[in-house]
Amino acid sequence: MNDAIAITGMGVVSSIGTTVEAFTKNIKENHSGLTHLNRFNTSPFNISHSFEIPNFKLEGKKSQELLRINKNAQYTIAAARDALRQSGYPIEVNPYEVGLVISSSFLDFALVTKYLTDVLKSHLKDYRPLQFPNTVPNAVSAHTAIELKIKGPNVTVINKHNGAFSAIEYGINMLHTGQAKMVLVGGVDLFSYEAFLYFQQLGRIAGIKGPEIHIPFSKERNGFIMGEGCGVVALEKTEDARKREASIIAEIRSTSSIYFPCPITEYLSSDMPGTELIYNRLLSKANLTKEEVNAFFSCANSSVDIDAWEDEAIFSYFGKDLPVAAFSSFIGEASDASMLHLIAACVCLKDNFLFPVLGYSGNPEMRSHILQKNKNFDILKNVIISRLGLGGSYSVFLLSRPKI
Amino acid sequence: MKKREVCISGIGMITPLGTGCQKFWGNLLAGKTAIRSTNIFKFPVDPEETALHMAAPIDFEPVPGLDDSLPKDLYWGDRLLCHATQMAIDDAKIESLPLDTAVIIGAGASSALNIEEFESQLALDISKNRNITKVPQGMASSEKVLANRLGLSGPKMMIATACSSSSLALGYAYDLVSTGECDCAIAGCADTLCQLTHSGFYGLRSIDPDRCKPFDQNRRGISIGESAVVLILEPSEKVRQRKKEAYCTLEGYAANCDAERMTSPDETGEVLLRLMQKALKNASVVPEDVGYICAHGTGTIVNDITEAKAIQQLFRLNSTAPPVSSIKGAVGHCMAGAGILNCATASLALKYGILPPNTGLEKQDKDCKMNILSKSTKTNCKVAIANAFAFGGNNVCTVFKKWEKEEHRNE
Repeated sequence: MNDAIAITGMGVVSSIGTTVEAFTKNIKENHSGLTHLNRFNTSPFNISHSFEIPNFKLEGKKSQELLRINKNAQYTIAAARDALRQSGYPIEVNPYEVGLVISSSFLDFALVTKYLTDVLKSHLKDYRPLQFPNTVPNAVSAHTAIELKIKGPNVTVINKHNGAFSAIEYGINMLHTGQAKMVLVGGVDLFSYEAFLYFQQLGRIAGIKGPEIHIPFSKERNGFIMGEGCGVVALEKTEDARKREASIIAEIRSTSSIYFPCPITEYLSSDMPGTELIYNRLLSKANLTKEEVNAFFSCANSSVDIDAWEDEAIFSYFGKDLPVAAFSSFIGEASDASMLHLIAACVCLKDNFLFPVLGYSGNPEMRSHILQKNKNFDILKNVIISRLGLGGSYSVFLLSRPKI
Repeated sequence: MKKREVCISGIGMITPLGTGCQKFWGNLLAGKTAIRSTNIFKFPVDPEETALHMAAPIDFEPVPGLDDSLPKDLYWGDRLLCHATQMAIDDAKIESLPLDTAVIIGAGASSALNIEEFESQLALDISKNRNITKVPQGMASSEKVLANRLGLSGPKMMIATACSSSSLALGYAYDLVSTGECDCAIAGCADTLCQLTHSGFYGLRSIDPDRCKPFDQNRRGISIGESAVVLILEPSEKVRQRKKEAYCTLEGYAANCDAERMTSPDETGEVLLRLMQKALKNASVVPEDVGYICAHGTGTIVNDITEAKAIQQLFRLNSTAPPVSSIKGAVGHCMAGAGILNCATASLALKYGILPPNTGLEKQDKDCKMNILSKSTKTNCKVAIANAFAFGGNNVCTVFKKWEKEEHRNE
């Protein structure tokens, strides 16, 4: 990457808060969003917990209007609105300069299935054609653009579990190729029965092969508990953000992704290249040494294989002293809402602290320095954040405190 | 940012007009249409409701050698995509793809068929209180299926912008190759006929009960088609090195959004006008250079008028206005695959110097004042553009230039 990218705005809808302020407070106080699963009946599976968002209501809309906007679009509109507001970007001057990239790999799966079931069961006699536009994969980004009057390029990216990071790379490409001056990039996921079934059948849900817990890196881990939500960030080239005297929250100094042949239902593969390559490339692009990295925000999500693999990767490259956090312990495995991980890292950079892996009390099998309680810094400068996708992709970003 | 020249070196296509460039192109130029009455949707038969049954299905027999090597449970759309990709690679005469080849695929409803099957099964499972059937695991994973099959380690992604998905996939693939992120890209899309899409447009009263007739005075909506189209993108220099002639160069593209309504466009045409202006600017060409417009032209009242307005404003209506045609009267609206099918059409037009007709046009709508082609026409045009517009107002315009033969390069 030639130029650093500035994050000038953030918006969240999560199980630990639907404003950045509430989100920050809950992170600092180590409150997780774990709750009883209320969205649907999972008693046949003996599963009773989730990180779902209760009672969310998009402000400024009448009930009748909300019927026409998917729930995941409502999450995204709320988060994007906050990110845009915080960025202070004057969108009304030229809305064609503002782009929108959303990752939404699992769509509104429940709405699609309801629509289809109605079509199939009633033989076209009793279904709601007006819901058809909401079944298309880009419904979220379309609703968001309409709501915020964003007239620049509008894209929905699909890359299961790594969609949010793919969206950021797409957004950065938009800025570098001059397609947009500012871009709102988001990731959203809606907790649905169908998505739950998908991961239950892949054997990924906690509670099937052991206790129903979601504690990344722990000895007892046996899968993840699912979450949902949306995170949106406003991105600009740093030089552009500085020109308009925007307040810069953090900078994306570099990104690096590797792709490898891998079965579509797996995260890891024997064909995976060594992680040294990706970390070297990340640091070299940012012109930093590994000693200058202060923390690693891991993609660990309480899966047996993923957590062990990344612990080893971090330890092998960075040694045993680099503090490691895992934000999924706060919001569960939220798929494309993992944009919230990046926002949590921004919160830490801003306030010079690191959160722990909630519930983690040590595991002799783990060799990296996994945090068990909050850690404060005089100054937190550079952090790495990672994400592993289904079907063969691993992405790492280097976030830095902005230079004054 | 310094960019490399990028060309289209290979095309693979499975379309309602036939499989492979030669069949598609021959039938398109001959003015044939593939839109017909079909029972593919398994909807109740109602002779009065012809809109329920009109569509443009493909007629494709998988190639045995290749098909045998594909997983038995592979989705139909992904199976088509694998075949189209192999055709494109063969067409490009690439012996072995670079390892960092990108795979960027436009997301369509090709997995919807499997979801439909799952839904029927799920309803039965629940009513009979039995174990839940397997959720379709490969949905929205076409790019991974392809990359795995070809053993590639380049960027892979699916892009969803409804009916312009595949155009934007091509645009992103272009960015990756032109900026040097990778040395080759596979861009494509397979979108197949399914009940989800057909019932949706039927319910919105957007399907022409006869055949779709873009820009015609009596048009009444779309006909839905299906296709699998794949383009191979490479730096022109690499193609010249192996003494191959490309179809054309891809000079640039632009994308924007109406941000008005989910299912109908900004009727002033301003957003589309800005789109085409930006695409031309990004490609460093002026409107006077454009010799052909492969229009989105769906056959719906509002869409066609809006596109015509934007074209009129940009190119003016005079004797030098570029010829325009929509191929949807021949192949139907291939949904997410429509954009890249238009791009392939523009590429073929530049390569062979013939422009395809606007099939189905009988009496041109007086509100669509453009130079619409009623029959195939020889051309020496150097620049062509392809439009794709979509639900949610997602618009893409792509600009192509005629491939310069080696002996003409320095003239």
